[in-house]
Amino acid sequence: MASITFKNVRKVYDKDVVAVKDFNLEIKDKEFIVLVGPSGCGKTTLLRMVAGLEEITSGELYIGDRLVNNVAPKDRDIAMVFQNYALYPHMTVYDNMAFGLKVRKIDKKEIDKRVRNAAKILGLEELLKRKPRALSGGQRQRVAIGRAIVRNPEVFLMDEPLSNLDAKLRNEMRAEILKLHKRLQTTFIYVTHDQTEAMTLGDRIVIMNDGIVQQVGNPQEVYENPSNEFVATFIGTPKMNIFDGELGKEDNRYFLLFNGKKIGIEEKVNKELIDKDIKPQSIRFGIRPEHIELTEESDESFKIDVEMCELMGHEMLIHTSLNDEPLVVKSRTRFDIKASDRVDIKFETDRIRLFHKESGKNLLYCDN
Amino acid sequence: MKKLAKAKDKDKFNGSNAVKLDSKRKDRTRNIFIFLMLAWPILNWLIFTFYMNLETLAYSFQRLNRFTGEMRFSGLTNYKILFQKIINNSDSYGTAFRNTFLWLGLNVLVIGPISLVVSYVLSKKIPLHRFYNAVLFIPNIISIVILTMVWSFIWAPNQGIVNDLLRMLGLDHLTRVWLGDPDTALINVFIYCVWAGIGFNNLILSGAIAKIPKEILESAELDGVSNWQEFIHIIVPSIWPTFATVTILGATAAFRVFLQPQLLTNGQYGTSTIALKVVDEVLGGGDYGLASAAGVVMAILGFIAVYLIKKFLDKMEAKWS
Ligand SMILES: Nc1ncnc2c1ncn2[C@@H]1O[C@H](COP(=O)(O)OP(=O)(O)OP(=O)(O)O)[C@@H](O)[C@H]1O
Ligand SMILES: [Mg+2]
Repeated sequence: MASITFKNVRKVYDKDVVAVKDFNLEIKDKEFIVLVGPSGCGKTTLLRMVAGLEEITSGELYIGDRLVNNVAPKDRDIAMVFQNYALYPHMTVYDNMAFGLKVRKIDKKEIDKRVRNAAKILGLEELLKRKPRALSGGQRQRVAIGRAIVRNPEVFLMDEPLSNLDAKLRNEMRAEILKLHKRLQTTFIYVTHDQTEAMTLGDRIVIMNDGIVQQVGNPQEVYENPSNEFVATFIGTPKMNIFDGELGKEDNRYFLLFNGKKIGIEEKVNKELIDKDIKPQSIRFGIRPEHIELTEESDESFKIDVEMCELMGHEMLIHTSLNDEPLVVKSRTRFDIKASDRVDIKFETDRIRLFHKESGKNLLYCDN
Repeated sequence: MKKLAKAKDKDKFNGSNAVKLDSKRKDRTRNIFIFLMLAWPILNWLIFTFYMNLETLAYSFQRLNRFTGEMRFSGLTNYKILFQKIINNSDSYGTAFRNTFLWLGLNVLVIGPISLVVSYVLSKKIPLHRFYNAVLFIPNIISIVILTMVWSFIWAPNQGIVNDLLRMLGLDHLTRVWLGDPDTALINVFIYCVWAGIGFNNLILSGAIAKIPKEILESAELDGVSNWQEFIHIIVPSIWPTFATVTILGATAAFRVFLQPQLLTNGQYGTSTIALKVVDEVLGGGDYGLASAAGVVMAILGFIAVYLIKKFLDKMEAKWS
């Protein structure tokens, strides 16, 4: 029973720094939720409010059915892994993990059992007698997780726990954390600003910007159907290409006017646009790099001058520009392209996403 | 294009040469600076520490001939006199000897730990903590002469606040000459030392506590520590090196205490210390040889005591680092 519910949660620091504005979210029991967003968007603040380390300025926070706004951190049954691990420098690995249990006056034998079990899960058995300063970053990070595990908490909070690790270790630990979640069967709230991490870990991901939830959904939804231009460009690498264009309409057929060409709009999208009665207007539209094809010249193709190529092994990123906007194409079929080549490209029209010119909202997004 | 590159190369060359010259000059200025900065302390040490200590050591083996005004080698006589005086408590040498060690205990076991607790409590940002910090530090910026004067007023037999208060409460039988009564004088001087001594320690220890990473304290909070557990298991180990320094300073200071009893009670009513005895002998035209012997004995005992304390502190530090 450890669902977490945020109702209109707001956090203001020092009377005028609004870190979180009107945050609403329901996290289900045992869910792995990832908070992702650019630096300074309020992720840590949100986590600290759940932990009870930061007072909630207004709104309500429930853990289970219990309103916890005024519950002390130690009574919330929560464990947190800090970004810098915050291990107790003067205690051994064993004592670091055991401390939270000793403090709670748990039986010595039980403590020993839990610590050794956690050490086994995390591969720390050899290191139990060491002090944190004699550990590598990855080992420290595991101790920090171990310290959380032994407590058997209802909720796990993790604040960018992998950000200090190298790429290889990060991949390994990512898998470990997933396994851990399966094994422990508790609610995880995981903060990161790395969207790859978010996509691979989360049951659902919450994308935040400027203290506001931009979109909540499973990774696939968020990727396929971003609610606005911010989410569209934040999720996915390389990011979605965005252009200015005109949405036109003739005889119940919508089309996109771009760079002097008329791009037809897929039947399904067309129908949705008609249903929503969208007026022809100046818009922004987006297309992901992997949804652009290299083709023969045709009515719907565009000529581009290749500026730079990155060969990634199984795919190639082609950097160029179109209509004075940067454009990246991901090619999985042709690897023979070089800088200053001239090629023709074509958008997969069913993959085009339409955004409102001012607000950036996805014209066809419906929250379900 | 080539020309440009060459020009750049040349630039680089000049640049590195300039850096070399610059660093040489810097080296020289640095050496002069170090020499000047060290000259004074070294001179100071040679005259006041090395020479005077040697002289004291020499004097401790000599006795003054009162008729000729000559110092004569006399073996361990001074030391014998000193030990007899201590054992027989003549001229209250015994009391002074005992008090010196009581002061050691006071500084190490009372003032240090109290300062630590006070710093911890104030670090919790309790209401008015800034005010308390300031008040505690005041004794360090006011002359001890004035401080002891104020202190004597507070405890004065007739006009003093303490006795007035007791009389107001109808507790007349408890009033007394606080600083002139062998039963209370020493304790009173001790309390003065605690009051005047906490501020400085607090300043140092507060700084150390403030430097403990916030996340470590938050982790402990999530782990569910009580304030007491936090103090014992997190705060004390984290700032132990600083606390050790404070303790060592306190321990060495104990062997040099003389101003407080001198100004508060003139060393009477069982408040004297060996340091004060030495001062009295020297200033009062007393026994130079005896004073020197007392100084030497105290230096040796002080060295041993501080060494043992330091060893204990280091052992704890090794355990925690
Ligand atoms: N203690 C504080 N006092 C004042 N402002 C704060 C405090 N902590 C955070 N802020 C502000 O609140 C906003 C959100 O900060 P927060 O640490 O939650 O961001 P974040 O999303 O975790 O960023 P990052 O990815 O860089 O860790 C920022 O603008 C930050 O400057
Ligand atoms: Mg953060």
